[in-house]
Amino acid sequence: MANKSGKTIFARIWGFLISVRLTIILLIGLSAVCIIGTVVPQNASTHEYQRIYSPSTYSFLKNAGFLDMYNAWWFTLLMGAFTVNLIACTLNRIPRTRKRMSRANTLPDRASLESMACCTKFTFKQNPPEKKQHFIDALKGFLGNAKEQTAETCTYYSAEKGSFSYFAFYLTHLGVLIIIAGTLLGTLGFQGYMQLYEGEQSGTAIVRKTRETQILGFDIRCDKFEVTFYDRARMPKDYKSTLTVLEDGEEVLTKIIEVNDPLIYKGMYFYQSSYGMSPNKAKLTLGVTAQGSEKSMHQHVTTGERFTIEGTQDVVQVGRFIPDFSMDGKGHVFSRSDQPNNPAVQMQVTPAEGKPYTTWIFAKFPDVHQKPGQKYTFAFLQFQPVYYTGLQVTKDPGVWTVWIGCFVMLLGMYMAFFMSHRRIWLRIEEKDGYWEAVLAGTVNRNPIDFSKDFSKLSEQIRTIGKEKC
Amino acid sequence: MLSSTFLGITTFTYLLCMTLYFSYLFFRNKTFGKILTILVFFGLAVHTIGLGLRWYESYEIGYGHIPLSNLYEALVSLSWTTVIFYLVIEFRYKIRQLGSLVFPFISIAMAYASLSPNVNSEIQPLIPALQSNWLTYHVLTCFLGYSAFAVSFGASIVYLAKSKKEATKKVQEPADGFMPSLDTLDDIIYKSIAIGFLLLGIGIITGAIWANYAWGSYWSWDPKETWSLITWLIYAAFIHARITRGWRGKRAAVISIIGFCCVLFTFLGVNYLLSGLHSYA
Repeated sequence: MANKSGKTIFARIWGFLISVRLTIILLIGLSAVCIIGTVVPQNASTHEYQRIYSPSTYSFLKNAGFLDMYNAWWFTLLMGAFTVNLIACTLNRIPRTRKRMSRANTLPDRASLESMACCTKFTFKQNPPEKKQHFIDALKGFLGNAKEQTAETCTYYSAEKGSFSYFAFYLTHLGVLIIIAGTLLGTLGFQGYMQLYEGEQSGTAIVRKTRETQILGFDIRCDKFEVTFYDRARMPKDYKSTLTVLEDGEEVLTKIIEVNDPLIYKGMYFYQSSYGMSPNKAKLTLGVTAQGSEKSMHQHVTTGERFTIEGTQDVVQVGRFIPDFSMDGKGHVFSRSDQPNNPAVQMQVTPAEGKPYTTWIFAKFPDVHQKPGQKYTFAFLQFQPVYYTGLQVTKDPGVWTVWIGCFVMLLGMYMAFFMSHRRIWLRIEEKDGYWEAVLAGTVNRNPIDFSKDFSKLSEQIRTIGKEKC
Repeated sequence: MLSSTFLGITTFTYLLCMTLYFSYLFFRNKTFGKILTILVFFGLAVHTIGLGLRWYESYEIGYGHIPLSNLYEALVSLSWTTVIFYLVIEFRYKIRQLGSLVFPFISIAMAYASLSPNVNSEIQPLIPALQSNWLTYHVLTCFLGYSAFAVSFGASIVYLAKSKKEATKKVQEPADGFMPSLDTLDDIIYKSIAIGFLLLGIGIITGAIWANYAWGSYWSWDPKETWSLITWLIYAAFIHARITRGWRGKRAAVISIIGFCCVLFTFLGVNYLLSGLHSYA
């Protein structure tokens, strides 16, 4: 299997997998495709796509998976490659860290001290034993600890701090892997929604992606829905639903949920996500007055209902109910919003004798459309909307794994940026009646800060050496 | 409103700071520099009072929320965090020259917030989705991150200008104690990015926690969310290139500028050009 360079194909593949070059390519590649994902609308309706793109562009984007990019096979592949690269890099680093750890206890000789990035040499005329404590104190002041070791002809004072900062790398990468594991666990859950009218209950939700029915294993009942508005602005202040959990018909738990405060039961989250009202369910109160009569009678109805006017054979059919009545240029009736800003209802009258006729009646404009000559005059006295609450239903068994991963990653990043392994040695050796001292130090990151602190220490050591005792 | 008077004075002070920082580059006078720093502190104090008053006024009206809820408040708060981060760097590295690059951004942001007809400076009520304590944690950490990136961007521009100057002269400029050395600038670029990277990371995570609580999913690939991730990934690439492949100096400065363009797009571009769940921010 050996090729020209003498490496096996596996060694070459491994070499590519562990390279940071690949990491950087993948990071930039992921960013690039994510940009596409923000420019091309994701999971929009076919109608919407046809509005933006030409048919050929649309079919290209669809076939290449750009319309549901984050679930496309190649995006998964990219994420997979990223994960493999991350694991390979992490494993590859272990031997190096072990070597560093095992080397930690050996004392460097003079030559290796002098080759360190930070190194100062001094010559002291005298070195009485009382100075020992001063040296140790200086090192302690620098790194918080210090020890003295004696080798054959010389004395070493040494100190170190932050050796655990080597684990920063592992923690950061482990954190990312835990997050990825959490997102995979999340695929075992589901995201769905349900709509409940006040008073209604249901034990199923509809899964967003597949439109399949998901059985919850218990029932949720909506007791009440309420929307409040700010006094000064016409903006909703709060949506609140009172939900009750029922197990086998028994009430278990009742909670008022609102946006930012969901109901949590058996690992499932119920979020307030939307609301609305059904025009068809609204309870309407109408006033009916026969022509020439002073007497008006009240009738409680819902849309689609049919009633006979008392004492006659005349039939009235309640037609469409429109909460916010408006007409387009062609005379088609539509509702401007879901809010009851201009409620209107259509009445179809079929008298026992004479022509049937249709008329719109308005709650806010009682006099409109009431043509003279019609047999009955209607008044739209009152209506009571029936709200439904829109609930987002989520089950994600991976959420806590993701949070733990995030915490581990942040801890690792903090250590990586703000902690470093600082080591310092002071080697003093007697030579021809003089003492030669070498002060040297190494650091695994942030060398500029270290060298600033190092020069302060070396001034301190110089002063101690010069002091006469 | 009293708060808008204070914030108006702030804008004026920062514009003054900007021009004085430019003049400082020519005068190179230490006393002048010290007075300038005092002026920045004055601006920051007025700024802080202005923001505090606005917060208080929102309670008076009956809305009661931290001033982080619309573009006006975002720009004013982002300027506030940037001034703070800038002052930290000024003290830590004892250099004032970066001010001439950071203050134009701050002044433009403040002036745009108060003067542009596109930006509504009224105190508006919070829509239900924003009524959460996570608003503070999420937006503040993101903004602190953006500020750190802004400072690294300023340092990168100085770095490139200075290294070009040195390249044409073919000699290293004598350290006259005025302009920071290339090594110092490089250190500022890296450290600001490291801090910004960590803060933006926390910002994205607090956002995810909040989203999980409000929208029922910690990640929805919403354009703003995705762009913050893109920015984060670009800086992640930068940090990896630096640590393992020794990318410093010019290359680092260029990537830091690209990264800051992503930050600007995440903060402003997404809202103007793309639509999504963050449409209110």
